[in-house]
Amino acid sequence: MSDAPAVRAQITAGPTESAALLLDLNDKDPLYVLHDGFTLGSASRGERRVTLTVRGLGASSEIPRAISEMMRAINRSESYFSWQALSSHAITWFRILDSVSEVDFQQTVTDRTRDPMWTLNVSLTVEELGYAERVTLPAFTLANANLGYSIPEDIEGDAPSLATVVIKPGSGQGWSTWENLLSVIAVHRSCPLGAPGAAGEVVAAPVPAVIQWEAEAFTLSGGATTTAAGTLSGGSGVVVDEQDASWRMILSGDAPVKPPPGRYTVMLGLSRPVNAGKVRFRFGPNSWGLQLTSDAPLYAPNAGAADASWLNVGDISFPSGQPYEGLTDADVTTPSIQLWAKGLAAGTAGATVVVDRIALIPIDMAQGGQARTLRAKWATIGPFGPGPLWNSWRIEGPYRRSGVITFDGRWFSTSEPPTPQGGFLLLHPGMRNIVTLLYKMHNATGGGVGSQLLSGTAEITISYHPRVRHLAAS
Amino acid sequence: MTATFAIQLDGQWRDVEVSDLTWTKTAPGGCLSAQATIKDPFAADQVRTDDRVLISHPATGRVLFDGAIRDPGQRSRLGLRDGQVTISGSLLDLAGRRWRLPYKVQGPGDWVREDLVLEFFGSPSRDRQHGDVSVGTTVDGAAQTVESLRLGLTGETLRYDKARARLTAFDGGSDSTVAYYKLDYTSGFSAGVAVNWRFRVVIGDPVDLDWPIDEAPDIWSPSRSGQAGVTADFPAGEQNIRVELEYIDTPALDISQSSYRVNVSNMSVLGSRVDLAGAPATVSSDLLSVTQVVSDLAGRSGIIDAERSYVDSGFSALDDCRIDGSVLSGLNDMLELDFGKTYVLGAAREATKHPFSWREWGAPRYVLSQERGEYTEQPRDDEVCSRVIVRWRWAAGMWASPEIAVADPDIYPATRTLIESGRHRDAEEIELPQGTTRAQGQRVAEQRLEQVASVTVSATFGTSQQVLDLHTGVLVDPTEVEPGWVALIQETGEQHNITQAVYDGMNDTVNLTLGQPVRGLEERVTAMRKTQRGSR
Repeated sequence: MSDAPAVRAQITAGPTESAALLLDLNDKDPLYVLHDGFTLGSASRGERRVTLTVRGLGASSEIPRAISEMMRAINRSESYFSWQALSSHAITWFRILDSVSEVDFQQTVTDRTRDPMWTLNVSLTVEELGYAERVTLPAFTLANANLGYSIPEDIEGDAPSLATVVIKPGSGQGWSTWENLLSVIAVHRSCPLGAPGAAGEVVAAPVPAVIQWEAEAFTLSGGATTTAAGTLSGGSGVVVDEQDASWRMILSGDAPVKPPPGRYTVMLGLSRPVNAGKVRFRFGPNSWGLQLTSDAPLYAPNAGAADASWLNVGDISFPSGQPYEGLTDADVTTPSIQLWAKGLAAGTAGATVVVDRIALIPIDMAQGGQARTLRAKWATIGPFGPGPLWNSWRIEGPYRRSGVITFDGRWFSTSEPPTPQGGFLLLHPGMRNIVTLLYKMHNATGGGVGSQLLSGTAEITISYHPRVRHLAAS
Repeated sequence: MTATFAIQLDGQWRDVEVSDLTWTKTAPGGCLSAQATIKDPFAADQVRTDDRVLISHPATGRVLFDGAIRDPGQRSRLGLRDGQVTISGSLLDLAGRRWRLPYKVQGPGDWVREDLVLEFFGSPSRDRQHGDVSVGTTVDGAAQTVESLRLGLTGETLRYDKARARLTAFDGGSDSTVAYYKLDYTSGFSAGVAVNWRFRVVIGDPVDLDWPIDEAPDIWSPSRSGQAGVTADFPAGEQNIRVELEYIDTPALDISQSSYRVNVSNMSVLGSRVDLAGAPATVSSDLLSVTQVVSDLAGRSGIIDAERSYVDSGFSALDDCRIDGSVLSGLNDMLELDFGKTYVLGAAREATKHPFSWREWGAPRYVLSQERGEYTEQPRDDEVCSRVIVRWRWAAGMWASPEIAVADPDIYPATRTLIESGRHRDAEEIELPQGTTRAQGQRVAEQRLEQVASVTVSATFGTSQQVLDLHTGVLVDPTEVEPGWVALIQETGEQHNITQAVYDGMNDTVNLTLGQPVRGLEERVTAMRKTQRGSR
């Protein structure tokens, strides 16, 4: 066994080079890990064992103190062992799980005139997957009209990694600082190498895209009319009377675009002029049992100003009523749908709601796709006024939290912090990763009621730590 | 299998990885309980009792289960928790607080009778004298029986300017204030005598006998017979209600005759109510429906999201209704009266407010295929009965003629062989509490018949595969199957109520309990009793 220390053997507070150093086991004073003194055990139930051969040099009295220091570093609520055997290797971090770590001492007396040399075998329980240094993908701009983005870069690592997504309002915009601030995230993965084609070539699997149907493309009924406005997708939308408190079908007919087989979650893009008003909606494919009850999704816009928002009206699958695994686009016929509405007659006379478009976000695809959806709803942002305080919305997968970060880097928290529901974003190596983002934005930097559903942009930055089964590749 | 759930630790929502996740949801009911092991030892160590938990579907982001930590796990010798947490479902939030609510109290049978005092004063003597007040009992052998109070004025040949009598007093001490009262009355007087009497209902301390004559919050002058109902707005808090009668007319009343008589019957007092949102509801008649009681109970709980909740209309003529217990026990009592309904307290989408529905089981929602899961039937082994006999005593003590419900073979085909051969098999006789009304007796008989005259099959269905949802045409994951809806067995066409769903995360399997469990007689009668009389 060589006496040479490892290039890097440290206990740190986080899985990055900038994280606080808790204990350095590189240098020779008094404890260090030998450069070949690292063994990674096999994984079981999400854990594995790391054994370190630690050499102790120095006065006998220093050794127990150094061991005590090491234990203190290990016992923190969040600590990582970072390892780099040779300078040509990349650094790998292992999150230390078990605070009760085994230490086995051996004392070797080499020379009676000198202090004895100590060899310690330290055993730590760590997370099964190690972390490589954080990768930040190039920022991209997402127009509100598009909703989805396919990440062109390959994802590094050996296993899916929880991502951090930072959403920053585009120039001249701010977050909607009223109620119903909504963020829906769906990531789809699909195998970039699809089935072999007829000539033996590889046919890339289709990318599941967000499908958008213009409301005005359907047959109108129940007193619904069209309205034209530049702020609406497709240049127009469908007006629904908020004062009509009966259930009536407002849209029906064949969809303008045929979706590939799979399950989709359906979002209505809604906007409303200044008058307050609330409308319930029920959406579904024809000839299925739409439940026209008082628990149907309710569009309850913010009072006092024009407001635009997304409303989730449930899921739909194509083809309806049967499994879609293994089906192709040809197996789906153009779906026929219905949209029903019921006003609550809560607003002023003549109050209306405009159905702009119907967005279908794929959440389970026939051809190997799988999604995770995160819903984070912030009831009300206050008590502070809007402004540059609302810098960006962060979804921190590794820490499993989601919310607004203020300009000085602090989590903005009200009495009721956002509740993350669903699954945090997972980036899959070797697959195509698509991010779909829905949110409410306001057409001013100062924030206010959501008015931007079509125009406007956001700058999105995605970063992640590649997760490795053994050691990070450089 | 690894899953995650969101937990509120130190005020911040965090998502933590868990293993061995299981949960149970029931219908009628909602989220009942869950267990899991939190994998991250440091997160496990932060868990405290009553931390809120949301379990959601990773692909759709919808909440499947919500509750709060009941047991944060054992601490090891070294002070760390083992992460094995037990979660009580949000349904238990409805069981946590107890209420004492008289929704409708009718007849003196439920009223606490005070001393009956008749006072006369005025000329010729201003001294108070106590007359003779008798409490008569009228038995009505028809659909309803209500004891009435009869005030008979007899005595010396004296003429009085004024006479007053306190007929009854009611201890309304409860969590509800009086919103409405109604009296039916008949009066009998000698011909030619002026009959200007008036009632008043006093809300307040019944001990105070010395009421000033002109202080009458609600007064009306009755004709000879009629009905009087008044909506009252009384202060909150515990209140006592008494009905008083006074003679206010001149000339002075001559009570030498014995024919002055006022019967007061069908007294009913309705408590104030709230709607689903917890806002005060208008009470303007003495008709009380299950819908109103259910809305009140749900709204009173304070955890209902009214905009995502609804209560279907149902049985609408509650004679007497008092609930003494939790919202949950009150809802279960109402279920006894509104046969064929169920209720579900859904998982909260955000922190605290839940969708709530009270509705028919309705048409089938989920299609279960025996090929895509394990279907096991447990046929009921007791015999089919064709007749139910219900007995009870009137409030006065004598037996009412029994209510006999006989099965119609067209409605209950299982009884056809019995009936067509001219025979009957009686179910065990039911004896209801004294004071039961005819309508209640009939209801119990019909409900019991529905249970005993058909072959009830209960079954279980376990699956790890997707299930077709007929509401949307989507194949949903096993975790997304909600109890409280009807399942259609694809192969046989049979329909079953899904009364329980147990999710087992280790095998990613959901186990459904199908069919309405047959309720024992004793259970049913106990529930009836509670509804009628509270638990006094």
